Amino acid sequence: MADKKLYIVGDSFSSELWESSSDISNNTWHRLLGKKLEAEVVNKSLIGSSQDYAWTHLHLFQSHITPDDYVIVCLTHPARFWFFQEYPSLSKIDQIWTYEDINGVDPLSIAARNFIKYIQRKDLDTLWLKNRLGWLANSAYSYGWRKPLIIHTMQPDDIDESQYPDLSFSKGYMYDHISLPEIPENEDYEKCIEPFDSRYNHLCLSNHAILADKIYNSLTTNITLDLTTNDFKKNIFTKEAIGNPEFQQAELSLPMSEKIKGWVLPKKKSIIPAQFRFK
Amino acid sequence: MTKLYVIGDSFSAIEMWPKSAKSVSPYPNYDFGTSVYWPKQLADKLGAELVNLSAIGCSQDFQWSQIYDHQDQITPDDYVIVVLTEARRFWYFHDCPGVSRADLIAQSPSQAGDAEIAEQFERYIQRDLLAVLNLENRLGALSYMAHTRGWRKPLIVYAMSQISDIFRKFNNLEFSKGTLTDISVNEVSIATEEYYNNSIIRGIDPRYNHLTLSNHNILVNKIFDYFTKQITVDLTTDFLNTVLSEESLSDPDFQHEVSPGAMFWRQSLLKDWRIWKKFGVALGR
Repeated sequence: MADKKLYIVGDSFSSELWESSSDISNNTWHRLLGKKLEAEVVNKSLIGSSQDYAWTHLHLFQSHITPDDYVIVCLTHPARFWFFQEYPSLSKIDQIWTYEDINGVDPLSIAARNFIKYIQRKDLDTLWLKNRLGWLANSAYSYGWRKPLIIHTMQPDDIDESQYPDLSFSKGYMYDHISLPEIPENEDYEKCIEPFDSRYNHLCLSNHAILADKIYNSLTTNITLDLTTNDFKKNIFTKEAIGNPEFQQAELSLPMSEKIKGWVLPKKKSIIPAQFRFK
Repeated sequence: MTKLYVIGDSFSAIEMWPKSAKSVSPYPNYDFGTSVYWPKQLADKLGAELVNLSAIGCSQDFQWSQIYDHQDQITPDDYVIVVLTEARRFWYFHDCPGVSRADLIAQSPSQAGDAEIAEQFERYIQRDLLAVLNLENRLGALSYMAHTRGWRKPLIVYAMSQISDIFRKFNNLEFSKGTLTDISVNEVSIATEEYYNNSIIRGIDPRYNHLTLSNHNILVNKIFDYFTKQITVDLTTDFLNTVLSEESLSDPDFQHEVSPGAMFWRQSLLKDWRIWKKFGVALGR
């Protein structure tokens, strides 16, 4: 076992899929990166989860992380909220509908809806994000860690990154600068990802490899991770390509592609496997 | 001039927030403690200008918003005190940071709907895991701010017991031993909740910041000793106990220990509870 670890927290841009491990590609960026760094990957990312869920794991990791280890946070949108303790994946309004599909409308889902409608606001989301980043930067400074790498998955609220010299931040966003440009502008975006995105972490595997190389360079040479460059492949994820077996084999999650073929609306409780529940 | 920043709740505030809300007080002619309460005394003793960013009834989120808003003004020569309020309080409505609990919102009939939403949040969503997580994030962020900006160690004075005690590991912060609530409660001569609420408080605490003035003076000396001699602020010793009773409140010789404005307000409330409604409406919602 590698004596250093690569800790990753985040959302669907970094999570493992829920199939058995034998079905999961070893060519996802986080697994490739673990190999390149010769580090054991400890990945607690979860599809649909909130920043609070990610930070819960960082707090749990804190006393275990050593200066030799690597920490990556794929920073999800700050407006997500960990409403349901047992279902951290359900952190947005549309996912409250999923909760209600499972449990029916109950006081908890009503409270979550009302929180979003009447209480949640951008200034609070930003305040909490500042606190989270401050805590992480303080931990890195206090424990002598390498600079944790914050990879923006989507455009964040206004954060002055210069306030956190003990953190590294990506330039650009995984969604805007890698995932979205994979789909040609003349393609119907929704049609390409319905009923769900068949790519690993919303990226074709070619771009996983490129991303792994860029993160590796950033972590080992302390250069900014720049997601805005032309290194990433663009316009490759089309409706036509999605139906091409060779493209599926090379670029997509085959188990997800198989699921899409026979996709039907989920039966109750089928949409949230046990692995997605917080213990 | 060196400044003393105090960011807290009713243990350090003398005004509602926003400060203009003070104008809704039915007794604008009374001084609620601006010249004698402990933040002012301490600022004078330190030779510093007081910048009091406290708000009665506020949440920790509001406190930290004040810190962020003023971080660029705070210099290494300044003093920072955070009177740490209860972690479970929540800043529900931006313009009303002083109503941070559902039961407080419910006191105003005009806000019954808001109280229901807040009560749902407190009952079904707010939980210790999130409250502790947020508390530690806040303290980590403040500790980091102090480090990167070269501040003196900010002093965390516990207003009340916190739901987690593991945050003593933040190297750039100093924490009090004990809580202001303990001082406040121990001042009361009969240690029952019923006596405290029904005989002493009766709607409005007659004291400045929930403490008799003598204990303000003791607190000032302890905090001064921290800033000048790095002596831990121990709130568990030296303070006056069992001095507050129904009898002492009516004793002329004791009147200097409590706030004349709060006493007058309290007596008025006892006569006419409609003032509550007026005051609640005036909170701005």
